[in-house]
Amino acid sequence: MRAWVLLAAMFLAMLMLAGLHLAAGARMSAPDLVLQALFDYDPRNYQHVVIVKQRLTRLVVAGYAGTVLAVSGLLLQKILRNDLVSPSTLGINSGAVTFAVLGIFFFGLGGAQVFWPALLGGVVAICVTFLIAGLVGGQKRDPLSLVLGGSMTATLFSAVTTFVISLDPDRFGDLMSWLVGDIGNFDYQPLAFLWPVGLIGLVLAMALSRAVDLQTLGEEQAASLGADTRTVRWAVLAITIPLSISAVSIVGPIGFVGLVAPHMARLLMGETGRVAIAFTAVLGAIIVIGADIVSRTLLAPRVLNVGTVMALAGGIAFLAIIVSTQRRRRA
Amino acid sequence: MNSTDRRDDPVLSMETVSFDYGSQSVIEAMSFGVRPGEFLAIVGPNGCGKSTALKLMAGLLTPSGGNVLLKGKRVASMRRRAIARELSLLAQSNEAPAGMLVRDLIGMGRFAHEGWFTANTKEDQRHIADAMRIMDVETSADRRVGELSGGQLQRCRMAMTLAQDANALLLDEPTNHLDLNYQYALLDVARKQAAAGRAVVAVLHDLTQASLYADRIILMDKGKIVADGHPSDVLTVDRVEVVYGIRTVPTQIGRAVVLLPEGALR
Amino acid sequence: MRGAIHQTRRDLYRLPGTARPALIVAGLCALLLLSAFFALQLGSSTLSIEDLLRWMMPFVPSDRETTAIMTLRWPRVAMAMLGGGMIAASGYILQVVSRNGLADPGLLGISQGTMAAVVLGATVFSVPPQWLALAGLGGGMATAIGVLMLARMLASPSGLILVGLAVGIVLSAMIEIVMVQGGILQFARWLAWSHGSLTVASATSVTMVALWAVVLLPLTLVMSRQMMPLLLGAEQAAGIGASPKYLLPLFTLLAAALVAPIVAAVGPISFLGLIGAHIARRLVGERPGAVLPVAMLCGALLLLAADTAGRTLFLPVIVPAGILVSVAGVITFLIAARLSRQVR
Repeated sequence: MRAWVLLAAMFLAMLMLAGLHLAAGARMSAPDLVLQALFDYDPRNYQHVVIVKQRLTRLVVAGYAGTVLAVSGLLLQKILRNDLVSPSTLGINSGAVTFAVLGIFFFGLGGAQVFWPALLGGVVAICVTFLIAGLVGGQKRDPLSLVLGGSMTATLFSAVTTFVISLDPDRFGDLMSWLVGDIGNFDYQPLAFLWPVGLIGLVLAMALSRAVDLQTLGEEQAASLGADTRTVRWAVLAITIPLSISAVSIVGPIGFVGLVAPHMARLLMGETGRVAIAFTAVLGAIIVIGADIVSRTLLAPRVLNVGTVMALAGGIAFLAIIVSTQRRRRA
Repeated sequence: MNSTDRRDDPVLSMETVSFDYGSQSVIEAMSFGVRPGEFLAIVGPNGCGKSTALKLMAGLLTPSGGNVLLKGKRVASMRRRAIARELSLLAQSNEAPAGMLVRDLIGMGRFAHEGWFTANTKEDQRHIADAMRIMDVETSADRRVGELSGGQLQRCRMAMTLAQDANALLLDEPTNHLDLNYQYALLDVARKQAAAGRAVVAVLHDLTQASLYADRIILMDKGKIVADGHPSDVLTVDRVEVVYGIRTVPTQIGRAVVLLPEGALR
Repeated sequence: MRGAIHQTRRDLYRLPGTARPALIVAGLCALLLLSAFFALQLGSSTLSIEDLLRWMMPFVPSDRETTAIMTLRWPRVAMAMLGGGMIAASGYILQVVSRNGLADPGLLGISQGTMAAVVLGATVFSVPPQWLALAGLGGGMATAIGVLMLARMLASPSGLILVGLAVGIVLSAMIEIVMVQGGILQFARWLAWSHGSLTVASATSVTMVALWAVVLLPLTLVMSRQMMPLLLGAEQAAGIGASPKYLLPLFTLLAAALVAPIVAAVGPISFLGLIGAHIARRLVGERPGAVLPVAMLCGALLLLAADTAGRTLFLPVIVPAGILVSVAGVITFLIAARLSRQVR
């Protein structure tokens, strides 16, 4: 019961934040103007155009990215039984960017098309991460080895990205902000094609939630409780990779929602069941929408990158998580 | 023995099961069965393969030779959910996420009985409540796993395996992490489960505890069964010396066999 | 259990004597000199051996063309050797201090701290170029101290690396904010620098780095004796009479000081410290006095080879050395890890 109340409260908070997002900008719009633009749209009114064509699309993209990345992070943390993993710390994001850049450079792809090379890149990257983690950690299950593997993978792939860009910087001029993760001055068309990926992924995540919860008890215990460990793991990887890549193909490698949102959800309402997944999803949307508001208003009229704002805030949150969890372990 | 009497058919049986990691043989041609109502303890020195035997029985490992049969069906060919409805296992690692509620943890024991849309039915709730009462963890139901001591967590995990309501109960060193009083309390629970008609198999370290609680002991060494039978028949001074490499002096107190090292008594 | 004990005993039998490290050091020195010679010779315009030798001889005039090429090439070669050695030494020290074979200046955030100071210094505070290295050193040291203090709250050795990773992420984000301000060309240049490129090495920057090296490298070698007890862990080290309370921060600062001038001059070279130290440990065992010089030589060789390969193999494209090191290095590292696992 408590959980549902919390979920409802969080949803309400998201709606209010969304309202603020529509109103905030280089110039604040009055609330009634926002409502008017939404329900009584007048294409000749410049303010209306700004609110609907710029802020609303931005809001939808931010919400989408936050939701899917947060849910991916939660599922990954559960099946890998590791509080420090997320699409970005596992290197999925940077792998996706590298392959997307390669696709753009060699095949001149654009828009939603980059999803396919990005997906391939995400899969390759996570394989590399697991490989490195396996070699580094061996049989021990140290949470560090996966993070380290992810960090090595990210460095490797970003080195390749850098090299490809340096071959012809001009060609990537428009993509610079995408490369560091931003919701901004580019095409939102990909979302029109990619939202089904997110929807299917979220539905499957809900369906699998119980089996995924069992994984947190360890492989053997989960299996003896009746979950087919291997199948669940593969299924979750098969869900989370496309899910996070669908966000990365639109907004670039936005990190840390996937890491931080599950942790905050855990603190606020616990981590078991479908409600927790829904809660994490809403929280993820709140985080990215909030970061987007900050990035547009903090140094206004200059616009910062959401990805950078997220990395900054997320890195600090990451630090806090490490300090608190490692301390607890010692006690 | 009357083979038509269904109650006496083994719930779980190993038929010349062997297992190896590559070239390294861990279990060699192991055969035995556990009947309903029986409390079987598996003992032996570290690395003798007793935990591996338990994992083979639970279907977590696939035998490289022979068959493990659960109610006459090959475990290797069964789906995990089907196995879990007949067999529950308390694994050795006491891993559980710190933020999870104890109630949810114990509820996970019902996973194998749940359908896609029929979670947390009346029956599920009854089994969960029973398990919590048996393990005496009702007061912790709304606490988080992170707040529990190692012993409390172990009892909650035992409650989870009880909530699973399976005919065979496998316990891998269940007294780990427990204070002395709770060690005996847990073994008492295990014996009562056997008395209620379940087949209980426990891997134990302590020979005295094993002889005190089990109806039957299997002593293992280097992947083979050295002896299988009534505790006082299995735990002889000579066998213990061969297997553990220590000369002991036996004492019998009630049904418990106490083996004290000869060197320390001198 | 039994296997593990057996394993340690076998390792003890294989423990190298003093002759082995000396031989390896000599061999690596010879190899390094040879590589340096070829690195000077090869390039977009390959010199003849005769011209090169003539240029090397004092008091023998060489032709103008060779001199022109050499003024561009020798700082690069010298920088690769010095930088590789210093980064590898830094990596090894950090591995001992954190008691974790995976430590590396890049992983502990020290490289990022140096970069952040350089970037912010250059763009926001408009520090003159000759002072940038010092600013970078300050940034690197400050980061090292900060990471150490935070990690101290955690006790576990892996805590240090996790804190370092997190701090590195925060600092990278700050660097990124500055990096995207100047358009894609500027961004691409920053990106290249952020992966380490020796193209920018000049006679002045080499002199600066060399000055640091002259002070720090002998100091490091002298102090290597003090590192031995730390291998046992802080508590046991104190138990045998060392004072880890002072030694740990001291060595961390030394590691930061070793890496800061390199990062300021040519950018961070990811994983070089990790790989150099790893190879050295496999070659000569665990005694710091033997591992340190070998690690330095390995690092120097690796960076020199990577840079030379980067500027000759894919002509006309020049691949930054940092990229080659991180790609080739990680692959070598993985193969090494794989092999050592099979031996076990």
